[in-house]
Amino acid sequence: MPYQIILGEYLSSKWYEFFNNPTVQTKKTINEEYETLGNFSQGTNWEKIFTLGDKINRDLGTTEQGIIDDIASFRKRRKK
Amino acid sequence: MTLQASENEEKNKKRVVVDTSILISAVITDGAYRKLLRKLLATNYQLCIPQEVIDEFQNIVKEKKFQKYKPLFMEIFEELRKSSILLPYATQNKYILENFKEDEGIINCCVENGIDYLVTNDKKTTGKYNGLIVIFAQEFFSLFLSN
Repeated sequence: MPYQIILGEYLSSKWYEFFNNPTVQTKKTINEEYETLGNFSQGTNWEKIFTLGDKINRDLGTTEQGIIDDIASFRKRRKK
Repeated sequence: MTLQASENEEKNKKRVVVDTSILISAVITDGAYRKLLRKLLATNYQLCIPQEVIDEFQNIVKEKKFQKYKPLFMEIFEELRKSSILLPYATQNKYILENFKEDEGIINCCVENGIDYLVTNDKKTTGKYNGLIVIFAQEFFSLFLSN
């Protein structure tokens, strides 16, 4: 647990103040996790996104150019 | 590799944004833009996502054509929002693009957030804006990702 030494001594004994510092604790946990797991990320799972996209397009049946054209026409319509 | 070394490596990576059309195409179709995205993610680039791109993506899928896929798109948005590099909207418009108003927001957002490349499928806004290079997707691929 993080602590700090309170300045000065009282009757030859040191006084410590213990406190909960969630930032310090979280960082410590992340560092330990990192040491254990190596390079990891909690970011976007792109392969999951592509799988979901494939699921959509299995039914939609569009092409790369088809989707680009669709987006251009949606934009044009919204501009009017 | 230490945490410090990993942080330094992240800092040295070039920061790239892809425009909404490329992002949607890559998500839905297994074509050249998906290949570009996969290569980007696998090499020494950091893919950043402007909030504006996610918002436009959400608006586009409100169109009738996409409505029945809403639950799948919701999952996609949830996943996209997990990105640790979401870029906020630009706070000021340094560049005023009279003829290409629809691209003004994303270009200013990239400039403000120190992005190196904005990859687009639209040649009309390609060029240099401060440190930002707006580059055509095919050109970006052949210059940086083809080997």
